[in-house]
Amino acid sequence: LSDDASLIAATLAGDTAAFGRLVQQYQDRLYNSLLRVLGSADDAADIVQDAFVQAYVKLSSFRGGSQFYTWLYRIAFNLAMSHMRRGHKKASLDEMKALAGAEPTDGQPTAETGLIEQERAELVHASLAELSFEHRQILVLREIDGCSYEEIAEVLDLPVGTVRSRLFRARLEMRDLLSPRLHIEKIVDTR
Amino acid sequence: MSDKPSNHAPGDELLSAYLDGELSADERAAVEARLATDPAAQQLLHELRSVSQSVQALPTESLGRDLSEEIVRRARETAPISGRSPSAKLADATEPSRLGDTIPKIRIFNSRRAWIWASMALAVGLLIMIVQSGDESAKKPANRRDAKFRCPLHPNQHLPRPRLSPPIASFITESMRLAPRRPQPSHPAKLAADE
Repeated sequence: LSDDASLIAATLAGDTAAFGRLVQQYQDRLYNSLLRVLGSADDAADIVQDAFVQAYVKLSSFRGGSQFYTWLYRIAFNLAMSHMRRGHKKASLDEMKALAGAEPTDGQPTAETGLIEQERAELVHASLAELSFEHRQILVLREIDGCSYEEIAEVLDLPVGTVRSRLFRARLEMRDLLSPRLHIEKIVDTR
Repeated sequence: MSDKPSNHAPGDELLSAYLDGELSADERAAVEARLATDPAAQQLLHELRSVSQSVQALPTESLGRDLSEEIVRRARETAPISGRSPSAKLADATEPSRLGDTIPKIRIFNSRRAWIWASMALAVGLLIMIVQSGDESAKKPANRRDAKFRCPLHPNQHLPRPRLSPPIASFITESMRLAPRRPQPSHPAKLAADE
């Protein structure tokens, strides 16, 4: 049995601490993905909690045919989609900047490389937030979580062929958003 | 939907999957042959790779706190998996106090009209029961009729069959005549399906 399978079996046998260890194992990974999908730290934290609670409630229905985190992601991404459909707005630009990386607070000059990295992260995060929800979530699953096409298909309940075509279009949309912004960064870079 | 077709060549999609190592051996060979001779395909692959690397380079954020205790507490409140038998959970769900909180109170006897309709319905029901029992008594053996009117507290004691006085019978007949006809479901299964 894998670690996850042992913890799931222990949880089903009544050991709630085992479920706590599953939470500890996946909470940050899930939070980081949801943060990029939802664009809001508070919303991401809320959905992480709701997803784990739902996973606990439905745990006896988990058949083990897939990885636990794939199953958990499916729950979480469904919740995220419902959350977005209820009309929750994307994060403000200020919040996105904050999420992209800590800004200098002590007034000291920041290393140029650090500044460029931070600016790039802000641009990428802002561009990500402008994608359609479908494109954002598939890009996050692939680029941030490193999921295979098969795993993405399972999380999003799509055929693998659709995953391939949607991911391609998401990258094209992201390229169109990033190109003019990264061109500005290039000028900064050549100083 | 965002999966609408674009003006890209059909093989362009393979470039994205090539980047991810998600092609079959034949597809990969075809893409590599194209890349060897097609500068536009090389450019697109470069752009797709840049996009991929840009997103991958985003800093990893963490919650900064352990949610496990809070989640386990919430989860146990929502649906305790163990330590309780299914029958115990069922008992919880059917506790009178909880039922009182969850089931809406239906106030159907607040008006005089409701009382009249209820009385009429009761009278019609009684009439149907009596008519049916009369029919059955004509067809069935006497011991079945006796069983039907046996007192539940004293099974050995037989009760006399109820007889309607003429005024009550005429009231019931009149009620049936005045009662509005309602459309009846053709079949119970169809009614369930419609719901």
